[in-house]
This record gives sequence, C-alpha cells and structure tokens, in this order.
Amino acid sequence: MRKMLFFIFMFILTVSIAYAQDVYYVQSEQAKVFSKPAFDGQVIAVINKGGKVELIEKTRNWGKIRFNNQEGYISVFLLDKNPPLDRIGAKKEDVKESGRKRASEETTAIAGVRGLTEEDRKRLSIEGKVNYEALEKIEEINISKQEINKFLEEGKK
Amino acid sequence: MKRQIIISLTALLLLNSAICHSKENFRERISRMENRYTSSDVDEEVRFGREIAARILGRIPLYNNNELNRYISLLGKALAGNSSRSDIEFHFAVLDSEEVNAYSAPGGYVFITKAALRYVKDESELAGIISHEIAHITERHIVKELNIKGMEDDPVAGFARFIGGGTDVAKVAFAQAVDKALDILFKDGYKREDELESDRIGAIICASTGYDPKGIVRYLRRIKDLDEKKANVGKTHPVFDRRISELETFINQEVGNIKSPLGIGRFEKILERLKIK
Repeated sequence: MRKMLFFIFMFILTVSIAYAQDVYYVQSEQAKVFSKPAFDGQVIAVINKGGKVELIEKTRNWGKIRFNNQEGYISVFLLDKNPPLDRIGAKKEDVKESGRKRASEETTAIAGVRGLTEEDRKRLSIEGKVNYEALEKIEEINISKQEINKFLEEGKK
Repeated sequence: MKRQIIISLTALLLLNSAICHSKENFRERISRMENRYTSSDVDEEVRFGREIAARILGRIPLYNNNELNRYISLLGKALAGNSSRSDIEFHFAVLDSEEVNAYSAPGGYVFITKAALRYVKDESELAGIISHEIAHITERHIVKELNIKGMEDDPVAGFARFIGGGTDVAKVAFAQAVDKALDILFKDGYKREDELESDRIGAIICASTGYDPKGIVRYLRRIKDLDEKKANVGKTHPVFDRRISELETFINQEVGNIKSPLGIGRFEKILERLKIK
C-alpha cells in the first residue's frame, strides 16, 4: 500500500513538473497572437502582460501556444518562464533627496546605495562630465497610453 | 489514527505559516539561485543606467527641440510596449551631435543623434534604429558584458548587491562599472553577437508594433555607403555586410513582411517642419 502511494505521489510530481515547464508568461505590455508564424498572419488575440500560456512548439522566433482553449503563434522573445515584474521607473528625487538628507546619519548608507554621493554628482557636474538637468528634462516627457494609441492610429493613415 | 491526523494537519499549518512568513525572502533567494532578476536588481539597473545616461548627456548635449524629442518619445514608447521589458520606464531623446550614431543605457535610456536623423528616410527606418537600441536594453547587453551578476562565487550575489552596497568598495565598483559601460558605448562597441541579437530582436519589435522590419536594412545600407565615403559615422556599430546579410535572412525566414507599415510620410513631414535637414 505504501509503495503504491509512493508511486502515485511520484507520478503526480513528475506530471506537475512537466506541466510547469511548459507554462510561460507574457512579458510585454501586450502580445499579439497570430494564426500562423508570421507577422502578416491574422491576429486572433492580444494577451496582456502577465498572461499565462502553454508553449507547445518553438522555432527561432515563434512559439506555438495554447491559451483559453485556443492555439496560435506568438514571438518567443515576449515570453518567459517567470511572471513579469512590476514597472520600476527612475526616481528623480534621488539627487534632490540625497542633498536634503545630508545631515542625517543615514546619508552615507543612502548615497552608497545610489553609487555616487551628492558631492560626487556636484563635482562631476562642475567638470561637465554629467548633465542631470538634461536627463531630468527627458524624464519629464510624459506620454500616456492614450497618446501612444492615437500616435499608432494616426500612423495607419 | 485521529491523533496522527491532527498532528499532521498542525505540522502542515505551521509549515505553511513559516513559508508565508518568509515568502518574499524565499522568492528573492530562489530568483537569484535561478539567475533571475528581481525587483531590486531592476531598481539598481535603472540607477546604474541613469548615471550612464547623465554622462552621455555630459559628453553630447541634448538637442533642445521639444517637439522632436516628444515625437521620438512617442515612437520609442510605442515600440517599447512591444518589447519584453515592461518592468522599466523607457526614455528617448535626440542628441545634438554631427556624428551618425545612436546609444542606449541600461534601465531604459535611448538616444539618437541629430546627424543620424538626417539619413533616415521614413518612420520604419527610424523605428528600426530605436528598436535596435531598445533590444540592447531588453537583453541587458551592458550588464552582462560587465559580468556584474557573476562577479562573485556566491550565486546569491546579484546586481543589486554588487553596486548597491553602502561601502566605499561598492562605490568604487559602481564608478568603475559606469566607466566600463561608457567605454563600450563610445570606444569598444558591443560584442558582435550582441549587435546581431539586437538586430534580430529589433526587427521583431518593429514588426510587432506594425513597422516594416526591413527599414533598418535600408538604413544600414545607406550608412555603409556613407562610411565608405569616410563620413562621420560612429565606429561602435561596425561590420555592416554581415549585419545586413544575417538580418535579411532572419527577416525573410522568421519575421515576414508587414502589409501596410505604419507612419508612411509622417517622418518626412516632421523633419521638414522642424528644419533638421
């Protein structure tokens, strides 16, 4: 009886591992699923970031996948075995904050975490080796998803 | 028998509670052991890339044209939405330089020079250049080239631990890593296989977004001719013949054609209006 239970356990474990190996997650904001392995194929679905698919076959670029009881083709570059991470953006307050907190004891640790101290940054700025002002100007360019969609729609005309 | 069941259930509950309690640490540890990137790795990658981007802008000034920078950002963000890195915020800008070139820094910073724009004939070509740079970021070519993740024997030592320490040693290591990254961008160039990989992934990003993946091939041919005429072409993206031939083969075999590519005529109008030519 014990032996039988052990074999059943091992069987379930093997099947689970095999199944888990075929499961992939969409890494991009969205990924088109095509009817054939080509970008001129018909788009049969769009899967959003984090969507789970089962990979059946794979070529250099294309993966044949199963999802929601459908089958289709997706670029394998957009898939990963791990779920995607949440978005992390540059923290503009890094420079200003480290300047404000100079007197506190935690300053050294914070500056270390950021790689360069506020003094390092100032020195490099004076020497003309860095330009944080221009960088912040770039980071301030705010573009919404609606603007991107409008841009893409207008591009079709 | 009843007692055994109660003991087993209690043990299971305790085990479950212990797992839940240390869930985050456990996930971080497993991620590092599998050579996966964690949120803290990505956070440090962005901080590292931000320093590199600030130094690029220290060497080459930003081209102060808000309309053009906004257009490049719209195009870049549309392309980045079809890349595998939805975990970072991408930023795009034009540099005021007479050298034909484009650059990218880890963590999502992409730059193209004003001179490079002069040789672009349509939006698919521009999408090809930007996608190529996005691909260097998605594939973490600089981070991998610097071998940051594998510098210590302990597999737990990740990117964040390497440059994120609070010690003077960590600060020196950080500064050295930034210098090495700048050497790759301005002097040595990426490894040939990294360039070819970026070409392939860039073509896929273009096609996924709706642009002609062969746009970059047309642009590379034009730049190759320019380079032969000894024009001011950046030397960090060389070996045109092999790149063009491998990319064409890849596009024909794996990507295919886009029936109606996006942005036909739009880029030319923008250039004309902004008087870049």
